[in-house]
Amino acid sequence: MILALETSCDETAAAVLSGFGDVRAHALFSQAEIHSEFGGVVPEVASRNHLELLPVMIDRAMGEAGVTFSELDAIAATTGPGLAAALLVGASSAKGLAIGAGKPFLAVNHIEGHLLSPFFGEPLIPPHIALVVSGGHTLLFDVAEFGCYRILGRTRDDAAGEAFDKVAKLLGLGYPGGVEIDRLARGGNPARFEFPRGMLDSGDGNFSFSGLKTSVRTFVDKGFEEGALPDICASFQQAIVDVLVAKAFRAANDEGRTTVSMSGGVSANAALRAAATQRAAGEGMGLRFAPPGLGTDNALMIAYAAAHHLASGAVSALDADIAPNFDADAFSR
Amino acid sequence: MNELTRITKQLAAFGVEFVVAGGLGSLIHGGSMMTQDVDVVCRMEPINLIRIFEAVQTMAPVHRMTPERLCFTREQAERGGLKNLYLSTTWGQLDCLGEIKGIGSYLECLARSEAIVVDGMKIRVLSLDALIEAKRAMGRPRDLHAVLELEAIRERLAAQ
Repeated sequence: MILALETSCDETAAAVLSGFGDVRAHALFSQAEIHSEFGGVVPEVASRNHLELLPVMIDRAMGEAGVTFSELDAIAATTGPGLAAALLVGASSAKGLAIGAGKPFLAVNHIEGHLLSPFFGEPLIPPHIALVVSGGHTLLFDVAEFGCYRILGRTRDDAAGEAFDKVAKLLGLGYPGGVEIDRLARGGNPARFEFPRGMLDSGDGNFSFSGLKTSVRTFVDKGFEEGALPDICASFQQAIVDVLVAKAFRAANDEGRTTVSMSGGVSANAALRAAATQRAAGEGMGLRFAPPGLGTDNALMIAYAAAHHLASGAVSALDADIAPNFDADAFSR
Repeated sequence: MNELTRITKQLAAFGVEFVVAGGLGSLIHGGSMMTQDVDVVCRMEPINLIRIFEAVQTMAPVHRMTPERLCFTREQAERGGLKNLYLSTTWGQLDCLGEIKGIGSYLECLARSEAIVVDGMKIRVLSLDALIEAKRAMGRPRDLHAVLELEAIRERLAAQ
């Protein structure tokens, strides 16, 4: 049984997981509303709120699970990538509790948590292509098995979710914008406006969304009728979806994989799910999404990744540092 | 921790009579859990308050708990009558407390403190036993988590 903590950005979460899929508890507080007044996440504010809230989330999770610290097998935390001051809260708490309870500490990479989440509950990770797509990351991996990841591409500028947020801001939709664009796009025509599909035919696994964002800005600056908003959202969203789906499935074909997974907050996008599902069916490929509730940042995915580490016999040193930046070379192994 | 001990070194340099408690005390005793403010138990008489003011006056100190975030002034220090000072400064948050739960006043804390050299300067810090008692008396989730770790540290030290 593992207690896992997640504080890499603006979600304060603690989860207790038994085995690979027996969810004993998951307590999560999203600071999104607190940060919405700033139009984005403020690291100092996030860190202070983690300090206040994390102990409460830990006690809530432990109480819900009905276990004591001494009954745990290990205590895990996200140690990167993420906001340094935010990561420190979770990592230092997990280390302190691990010392106090005399249990192993497990440092978990946030990207690995997302990457594995579509297989939540399963003891084995099959070979597949993994698309991790969120507000902070757009990454494409070839996965041979647990712990064996090869990066195929990443965004050269904005993450897909970041593009959603920035365009939502341009359209006056507030923060976080992805959910609102998704909602409005459902009533819109995705073919009405033609926005660029950055790096669609670049021949590699890399992405670029800044040109798309600029194109929407230029469009918006020219002015548009109020009624066109759903069509703008749908057309913008389609441009992102087309690139994500094309790159993920092309990679699967190139690497000879028969399964594609999608995780991270953007993987909850309805248009992305529909397009990927259609493409997978057409190509006879398996498709996995992060389960409901595990798309955005959460502690269960960290616990699940930690369960794999523990099963493989790995534990982390108590002086393991946080790593705010994503080190693709270190991660690919 | 350097950012936090910087404030305590400044207090010590100005002759403030204080004992380190709270999360910084835990860190100094080898704890891991992060804290972002400095809790010290102080003699809250005008002479010591003036020293506190002089130590922090270049850090734009304001009363953190007041809605208008009023400035901490020399006049307030000279007047005295303050039970606690919850300050926000450009160096971080500093809480100067007249007493703490579980242990008591400054003098009671002083009696249960030890001198520890931190970053080259000797400062008084609540002893490990006293810190555990204080945190247990506070009773918040974060305090009780810290107690778990501090007790493990105490056991390890006793075994050495």
